[in-house]
Amino acid sequence: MRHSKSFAFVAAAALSLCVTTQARSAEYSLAVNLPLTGPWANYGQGMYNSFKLAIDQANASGKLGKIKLEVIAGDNAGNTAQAVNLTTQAGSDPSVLGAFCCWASEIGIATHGIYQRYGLPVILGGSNDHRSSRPFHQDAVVFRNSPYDLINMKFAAIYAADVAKFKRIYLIDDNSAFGRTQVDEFRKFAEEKTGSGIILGRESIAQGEKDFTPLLTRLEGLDPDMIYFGGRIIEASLMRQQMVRLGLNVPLMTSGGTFSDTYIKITGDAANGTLASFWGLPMADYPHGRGLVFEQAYAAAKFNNPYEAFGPMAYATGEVYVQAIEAAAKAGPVTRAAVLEELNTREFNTLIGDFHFDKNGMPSVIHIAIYVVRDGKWQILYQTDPDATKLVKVAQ
Amino acid sequence: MLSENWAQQIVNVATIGGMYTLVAVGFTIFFGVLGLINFAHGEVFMLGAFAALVVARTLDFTSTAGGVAMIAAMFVFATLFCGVVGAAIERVAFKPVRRAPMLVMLITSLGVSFILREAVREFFPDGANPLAFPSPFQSAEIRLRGVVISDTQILLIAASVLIVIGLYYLVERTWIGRSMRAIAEDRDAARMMGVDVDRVILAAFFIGSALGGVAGVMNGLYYLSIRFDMGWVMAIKGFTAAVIGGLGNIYGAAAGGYLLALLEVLIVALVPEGSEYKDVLVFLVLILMLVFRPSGIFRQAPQKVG
Amino acid sequence: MPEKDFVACQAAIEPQKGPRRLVDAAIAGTAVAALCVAFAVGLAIRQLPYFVVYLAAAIAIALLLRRGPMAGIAERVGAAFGSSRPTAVGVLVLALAAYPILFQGNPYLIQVGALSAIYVIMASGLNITLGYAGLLDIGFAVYFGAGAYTSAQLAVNFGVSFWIGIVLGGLCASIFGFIVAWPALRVHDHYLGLVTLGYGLMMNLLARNLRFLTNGTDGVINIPPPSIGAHDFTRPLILGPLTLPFQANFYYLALAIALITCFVSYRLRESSLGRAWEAIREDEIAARCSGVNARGMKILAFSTGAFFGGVGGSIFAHMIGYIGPDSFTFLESITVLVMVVLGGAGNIVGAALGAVLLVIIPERFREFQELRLLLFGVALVLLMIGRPQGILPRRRARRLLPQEKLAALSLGEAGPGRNARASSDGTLGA
Repeated sequence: MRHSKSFAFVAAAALSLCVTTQARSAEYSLAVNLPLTGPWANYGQGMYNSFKLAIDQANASGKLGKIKLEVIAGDNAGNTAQAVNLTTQAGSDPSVLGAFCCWASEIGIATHGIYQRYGLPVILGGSNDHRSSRPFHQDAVVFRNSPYDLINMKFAAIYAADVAKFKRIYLIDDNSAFGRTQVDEFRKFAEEKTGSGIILGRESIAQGEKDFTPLLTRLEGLDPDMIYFGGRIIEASLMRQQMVRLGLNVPLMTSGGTFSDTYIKITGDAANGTLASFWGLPMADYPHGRGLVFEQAYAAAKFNNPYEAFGPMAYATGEVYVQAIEAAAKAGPVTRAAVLEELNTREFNTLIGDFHFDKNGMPSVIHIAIYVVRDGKWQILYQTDPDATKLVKVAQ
Repeated sequence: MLSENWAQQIVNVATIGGMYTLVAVGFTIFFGVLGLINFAHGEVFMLGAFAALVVARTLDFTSTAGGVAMIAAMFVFATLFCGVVGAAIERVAFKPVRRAPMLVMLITSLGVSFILREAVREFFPDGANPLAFPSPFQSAEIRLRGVVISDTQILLIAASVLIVIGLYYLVERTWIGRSMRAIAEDRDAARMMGVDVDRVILAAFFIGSALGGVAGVMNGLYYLSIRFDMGWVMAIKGFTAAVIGGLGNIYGAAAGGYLLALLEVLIVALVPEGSEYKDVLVFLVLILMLVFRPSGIFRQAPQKVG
Repeated sequence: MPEKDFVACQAAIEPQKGPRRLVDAAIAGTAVAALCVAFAVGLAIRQLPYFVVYLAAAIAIALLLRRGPMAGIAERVGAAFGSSRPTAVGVLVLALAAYPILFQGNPYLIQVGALSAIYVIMASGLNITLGYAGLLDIGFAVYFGAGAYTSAQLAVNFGVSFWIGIVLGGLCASIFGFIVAWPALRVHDHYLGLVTLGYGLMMNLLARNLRFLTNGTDGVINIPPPSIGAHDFTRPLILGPLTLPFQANFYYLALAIALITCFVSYRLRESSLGRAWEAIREDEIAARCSGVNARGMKILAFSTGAFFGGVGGSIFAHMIGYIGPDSFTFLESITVLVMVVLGGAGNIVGAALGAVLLVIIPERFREFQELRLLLFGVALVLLMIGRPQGILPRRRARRLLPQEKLAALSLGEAGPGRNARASSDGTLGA
């Protein structure tokens, strides 16, 4: 072809076109590492918006003085390799003071060592798997904004075995770190209470799988009275629809990976009867009415997506960073080490409560609640008491 | 109890197999007339589902009659849309490289598949996230002695069977089918015999892609959720089914689709931890077939298109 | 024009001597330096308006050099390159070594440089399989993963040093290459590509499921960085008066290995192995008739390419500190394929160029990261239709039989020149 070399240049130039690198003017920023697109975008967008709301409010109110915090939106699309990339970028960027990661447990597990390498404090949202948190590793930069699965599953098992008294539970996980560990822990706690007879069996499915009818058909023959699914919203929704269609009308119990209004929306009528254990409360139940204040502020900000289940904790994370940076600024130069110091020592006043981080980076306030879908809505059935030792029935 | 279970599994096989078959036939047609492995076909399948979604969102349905009309509209629109897209791809991307080595054509089809998939992800509203696919059939179902068959499944199974029968007529009885077979045998000889090769190849692409589009709509109706990356896995499975039946053999592709579905269901039902390894075994089957029996499991010598 | 062709032909056949050689060396060196400076400037510009100006200027200059009044200069520089390659390479190596020093304020860009070097290694590997031997392998990510996991697991579980791990990783990867090549090379052409595709997907799934081997979807974390003696690669690098960020350690490591890889590729091409591969690629039946063990050579091509893939994977794992099944998906296979095809299959510089372009551009692109795959597709289709041999087409061997040399000189035909042009019109596999 006559102009073939030009063709090649054009092809290469086409790749170079539309390049923009904005001059990064912010001196201080916080890096976000969330699934803003992909199968869990409903959660990620809600978390990002809520987090950003807290930062924007702080910037506007001037309480950080001369400091204007920028939020760098990192989209990991639920993909671990992409998340690791974002972590490396954030770590190498000297303006980043703190990070907010990951929603998905496997991302938390993959990235905490890298945050540690860069000395970048990170607060984990979601990432329920205990292996992403201290003391299961020694990375001092890692904190959480919610309790991990060892606590979550303990109460899920208490509900399943003691309260609802299920006797024939079948376990399914989605072969992710999150799903597998969750099912392992649930099984451990359940069997502790009632012996191993309570669990009929266990199977893994692949994420992205759409057809569970062969598996569910086989399970029908085993006659379970509850199916526990350690997995996430898309698979859970399809599984629930297919369960109902096949006539396997037993409760499906899940947790943070599924608990959301989006689940109800995409599952339709079949969603009724789904159980979930989650570490969030109805908005009205958060202390000092802060939940309702947040709701109004979020609505006023007119975001494209609802704040979803993880929004309140994300907002609280933003508040934590604001308060930590505010204090660090008063004490001297604002660096990652200074922020880390504040995270370790301060008392924080946030939406989810007034708390500090314990020596393992866990927040000192814990709620776990059990929900069920009834009439197309999540309704709270049980809640942990303030000491988080037992489940207390919630008046309907 | 056990026999009901098996009957239910057979229904599953029939439904899923129908979808695989439609995609596999497309692959086999493309291979037959052009010797091309068309990676983009999976994305055409995906486009069928998205086209149907657009139709469903534009027309609102409330009554049952409205529901039937909507389903018909979805199928018709998706079929035509995908046929046109397939033909366009052939003209724009494959025709210029028709005489080039196989490597070049493969890479071209790869490129096209990327363009289609990413275009949907980027430009379709909310395309990067899974989208709900509406269906008027959601809760209707028939129960026959403990076996549950939904209306959707009946529709899908019936449609696939009808289409396969229609394909038989197309290949054996129509001039298009004969021309396609002629081109598959020897393109230059066919041209000398007066076959308008370009037109027939275009028609072949239209037909193959239209079938893919139908499968896409079925997939949406069945799973009630579609994603921009749904074409990728379906392409591999459809292609595997085509290979099982023997590339170029339309009837083989039809059989291959159901066989593959049967294999998958057997793995899940019988093998412990089967669900986890299902896809691995499918890929393994693909590799083994390609390496040891590329002409398919049916003993006849490789026939091109029919 | 016959006279110009004659000069080019002369330059190609006769080694330059004396002062002309020094002049050539100077020209080549300057040209390389100029290109490097231009590249560095492009990398460093942060504001959009300046970058647009820069890009416009670069394209304008490139077009002028191709067709316009400056074409004569381009010819001269091309001739200079031909006769004084060592100088050009030397200047390039110096420039590459200076890169971290120039960009020490931006450690992320240094890491991007290291990543480019890793991809150069892998692209060179695929270049051997695809470019030299003409075998389509679209499951290349398997070798990357094999090398990465081997090295990572050995280091994490058994404390094996990186320097041993990288070799073992390469070897393990070449075994994976052998595993697919041995049965699959009974089939040809398009089937081979599909087998490698299926293989790549299958291996990725197995990596997700075989937890005892790979930790499944969790991946391998806390992979220890390499160290030389007491110097840990996560510590800043001190070179005399300069303190470079720790990413520079990985950069130099990857750069050194990339240069070695390119050199080895070059030697392979010129060796009897390379000639055998070329023969197989051009006409396998003829090659067989000439006594070439086609099957063995093809398996060797796969394994060699795989070895480099494994080496690249190993460095990657230790650099990032984490490896998981998401790190080596079909996307990575396609990326390496596009690198080789875009840069020019069969051409080492081409493969390296493709690798660098396809790492740097998406990085600069970050806001438009989402369009990356779409543009991959567009670039692939455009390339296959318009210029399947890539930016830098493979170079025909310049070895001529004595009678051909004589014929070229006496008849004034441009012997090698004309041939080269013909082959550059050829398609990918031909």
